[in-house]
Amino acid sequence: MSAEAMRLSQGGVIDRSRPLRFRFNGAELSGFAGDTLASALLANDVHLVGRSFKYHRPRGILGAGYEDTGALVQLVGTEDAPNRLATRLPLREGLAAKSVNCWPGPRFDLGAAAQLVARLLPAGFYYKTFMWPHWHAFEPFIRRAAGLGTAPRRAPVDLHYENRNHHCDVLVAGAGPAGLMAALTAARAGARVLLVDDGLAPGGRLLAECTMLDDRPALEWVARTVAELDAMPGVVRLQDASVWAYHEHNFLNVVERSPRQKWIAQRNWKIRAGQVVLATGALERPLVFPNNDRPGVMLASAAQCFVNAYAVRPGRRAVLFTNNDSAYAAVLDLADAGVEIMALVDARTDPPAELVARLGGRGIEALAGHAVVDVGGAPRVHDVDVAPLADLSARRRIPCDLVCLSGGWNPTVHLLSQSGGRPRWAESLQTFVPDAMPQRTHLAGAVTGAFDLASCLRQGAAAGATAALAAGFAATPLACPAQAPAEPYRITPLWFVAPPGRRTKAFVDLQSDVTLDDLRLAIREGFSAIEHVKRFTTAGMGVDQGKTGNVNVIGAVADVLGRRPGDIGTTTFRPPYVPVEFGAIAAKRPGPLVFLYRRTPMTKWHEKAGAVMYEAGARWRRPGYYPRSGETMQQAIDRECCAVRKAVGIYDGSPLGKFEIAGPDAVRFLDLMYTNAWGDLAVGHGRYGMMLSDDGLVLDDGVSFRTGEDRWLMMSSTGGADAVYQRLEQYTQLEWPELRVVVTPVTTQWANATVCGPLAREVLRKAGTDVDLDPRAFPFMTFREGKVAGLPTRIYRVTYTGELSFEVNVAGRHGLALWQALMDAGREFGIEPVGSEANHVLRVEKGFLSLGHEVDGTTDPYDLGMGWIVGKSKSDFIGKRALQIRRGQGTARRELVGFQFDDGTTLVPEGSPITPGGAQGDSEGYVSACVWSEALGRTAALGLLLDGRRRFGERIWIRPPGRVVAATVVKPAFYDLGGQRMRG
Amino acid sequence: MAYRCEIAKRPLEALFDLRGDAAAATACLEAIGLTAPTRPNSFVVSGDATAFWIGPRRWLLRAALAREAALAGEFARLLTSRLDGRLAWASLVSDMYAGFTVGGADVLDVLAQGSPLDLSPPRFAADASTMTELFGVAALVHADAAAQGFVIHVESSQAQFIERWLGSARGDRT
Repeated sequence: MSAEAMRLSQGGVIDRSRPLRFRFNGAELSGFAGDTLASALLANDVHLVGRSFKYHRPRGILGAGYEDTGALVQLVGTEDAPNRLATRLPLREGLAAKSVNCWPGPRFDLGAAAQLVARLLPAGFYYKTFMWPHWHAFEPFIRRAAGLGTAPRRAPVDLHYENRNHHCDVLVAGAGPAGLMAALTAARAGARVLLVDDGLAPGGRLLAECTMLDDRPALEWVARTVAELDAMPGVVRLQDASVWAYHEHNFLNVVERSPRQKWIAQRNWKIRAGQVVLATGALERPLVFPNNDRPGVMLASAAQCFVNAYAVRPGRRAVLFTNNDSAYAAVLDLADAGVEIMALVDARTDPPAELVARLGGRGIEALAGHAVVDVGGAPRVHDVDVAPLADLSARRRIPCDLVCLSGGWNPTVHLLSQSGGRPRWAESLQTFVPDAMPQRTHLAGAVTGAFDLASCLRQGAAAGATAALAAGFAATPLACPAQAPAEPYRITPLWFVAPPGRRTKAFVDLQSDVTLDDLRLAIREGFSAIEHVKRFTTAGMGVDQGKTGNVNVIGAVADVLGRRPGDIGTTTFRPPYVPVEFGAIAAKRPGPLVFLYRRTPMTKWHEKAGAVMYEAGARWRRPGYYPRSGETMQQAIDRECCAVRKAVGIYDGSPLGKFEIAGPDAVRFLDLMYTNAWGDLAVGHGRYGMMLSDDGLVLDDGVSFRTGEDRWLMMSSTGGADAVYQRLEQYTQLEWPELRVVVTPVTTQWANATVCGPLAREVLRKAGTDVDLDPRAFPFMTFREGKVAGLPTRIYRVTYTGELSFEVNVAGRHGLALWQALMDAGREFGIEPVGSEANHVLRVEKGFLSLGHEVDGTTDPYDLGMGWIVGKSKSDFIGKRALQIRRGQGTARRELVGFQFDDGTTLVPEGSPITPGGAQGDSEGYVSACVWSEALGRTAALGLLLDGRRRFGERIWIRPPGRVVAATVVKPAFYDLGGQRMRG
Repeated sequence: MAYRCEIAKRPLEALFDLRGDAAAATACLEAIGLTAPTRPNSFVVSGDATAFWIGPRRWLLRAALAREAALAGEFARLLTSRLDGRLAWASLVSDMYAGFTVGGADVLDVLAQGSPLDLSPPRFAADASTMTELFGVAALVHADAAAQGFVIHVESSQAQFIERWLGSARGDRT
């Protein structure tokens, strides 16, 4: 284990009593609890962290938080995870990480060969280069070359992700001075507060700056405030957590990376907030000049943070380069930490005298009106060249191993932008600040452009009070702790430094490897709108979403175009604000919980019987078929079909939609819902009905029974049950509220075992029933109530197989007992359980309709040969007018027909198109169903064919994939055409 | 490791889905000796029966299973007489719904994973009952002081799915 050469002997928020060991690129290193991986690496004098995305240039640590662009690492071992940002990764014992985007390692990387041909790889090169034969031929190679980390191959061990909902009166984003004041003010007023902070510890910039509050170190005030908040029952405080999305209606997402529950890897919060306080602070931006991406180039604020928060010297000899006042405080902190300050380079020709004087008192040279024009050293900074801005060729070389940059501060407006707000340009700050807030949002602190501590505290208290008031709590801003007088913030824009001579890459977006030249190229190619520049160059994309690069990009584009940055505008910030693991978004969802599968009381029996189960509409999981040992699927289906046609079968009809309809206007209601008339149906009888959509096309069909004078039981298809119920509710609640009728879904109240086949009656008798099953006493399309196998039942005589059929319904609690009793009773008659595949064959033989096959959303009753079901004398029904208009047009339509193949064995896939002469071209119909019929001894098919009913006997050509098949058009029914069997 | 939450499937109970005009439904409930809720999304307990107001024209009555037949008879008698011309209808739905009692110190942590409802007291009142989405399916939720938690009813075909979800949310290995 190496010593921590750059660790300061005191200071910081690290816990020196808890040393930790970790590995990086195989080297064993040490740090302390409270370190991030980045601070621990710097403590060990490790600056080279990885390679860049496109050019594979060596990269180090630029920031100290989520603004960082290059310190992405791959966790290895049991924690395998890609693209973790070292600057926000808490150090823990045994942590193992490695660099990304390099092979075999960051020091020697074969991918660095890309730098040799870098001139051939400008922005947009792959849009233009990889066009032939098509992009996807190159995609795998490019993705492999350009990718960052590697997705983990295994789920985490003994850990899972969690999603949860949460409600609060006030959500405060950011636990810096403004956020803490806002949270405390709102919480003391009694509001339920959720305080979210993405740092490893609360305090925000107070952690990074040596500041006093109430004449004590500011972190003492932070500790007191946090302790008070933590003691309040209405406050939830999430540390190491980020608001990553701000949607409409104050709905936000937070990712919590270190939940208290140790079995949870990460938690994604879905938050409905009454009010939101954004105290998201500001991010420092770098300066743009040649080779500004060398490891050892760092934001001044980050260097200050590493010194003060983590007690780490990020270098031995530093040069600071700035265009504003804030770097002057940082330089003194670095000097106090023992970093030798070689020079402070200020681009301003006339920096504030009092600041220069402060440096002079410490013996630090300030170079006014100068700029850094190049960085030497490979891979790490070895020296810089500085020159007067007035003559950039007059270079002077300064040795150093650390270059600190301060190009000004950008309010963190990302969440505000996501919420619908648009930032505006603030000339005095040379950056964008929030403008109008479209949601219930309040702002406090540096996000507003107020960069001094006094303003942050004051605004925090005010925003907390305003938010609490808006949430319904009596609140007044709390008194702020006393602080030193505010320092002014003055800045002169410097968007880039472009020294004369050979062009060296100057990066505006380090993570996406976008250079100043890329921006110029985009503009030359005509992409002058900033959204277009973003898409052409990828500036502002990537893991960091342009946190440090965006304003520099806008400033540089404005400079090249000779316009103001405010006229250029910003791109739209979209979620996520910080990288979020897919695991956190998806959360724990084991296989059985991926999809809802609804179960009937008999489902367990089907599973035990070896049925092949699958989705059968409306999320019901039904038996497809019941294969016996050694049987193929087709053999099983044939066997089940034969049982129904020759003996008896039984199937689970429980999922069929069922609705009780009651009230004095029930008949009128049914008359409006269905195309046919219902008033003349006697109690105890049922009738087939067809329901149309508003545009006169078939929506669903089914049988309804009159169970009382003003009581009905409506049945729908399984798959259409939800749509039918929505329609029934829509019309009772909204369209016809004057109708005195109520609708109650009762689908799962009833379990349904349907016994079908010529021996069905014998099975019921054998099971024991007090219902007279004689066909004269219990005719087709009627129902009876009575007992079967000792269970109270309601039996309906309807059929979907075309055979004698009894739908035996019992309360769900009796479903399994009924099924078992019928199976036992049917054994001597050769009863077979029948799945939906056999049902499909049987209904095709009969020419019965199926939702999703013939009822495909384009057909009306006439198309299906069922004009008889349209009540001609009815005054109205849903879809009537649309149906009449369509029928009045007299245009040819696709109509239901049957198909017969010459050899009797041909099978074609459902959906196979029919084309004139079998030519490749527009279809004139398609095959909706095609099955092998054991009863017919040949295949049978149904389909929709243009003008089909006038073409019986005609030859047509079907085009399944790879062939053309001839068939003859026949009537769409093949079995028991007179219907004697089902009425028997 | 898991959240501290007990999940118990409730035995079959008598359930009636009562729909119609508010006056008729209230009269119907009172005629069989129950107190009707006076606020939408609330419930009232009368002895071993509970009446929930869960929709603009919808109530749910829950009682011990032993009373199912008697209550069905009562409803049939009342509704046949049409409540002086006012409209109400009660459907027996005991088998249509499955109930779960979930309680314990961490019950909110478990339910928050599946429901967008604000179930924390006092926002979710002791007599509140409402339909909500729970792990993607429709559920009736109400507080249950005795269980230090909540009672959930879902459609019976979805019971196994919800039971597994609740266990998974608690932290059970699945």
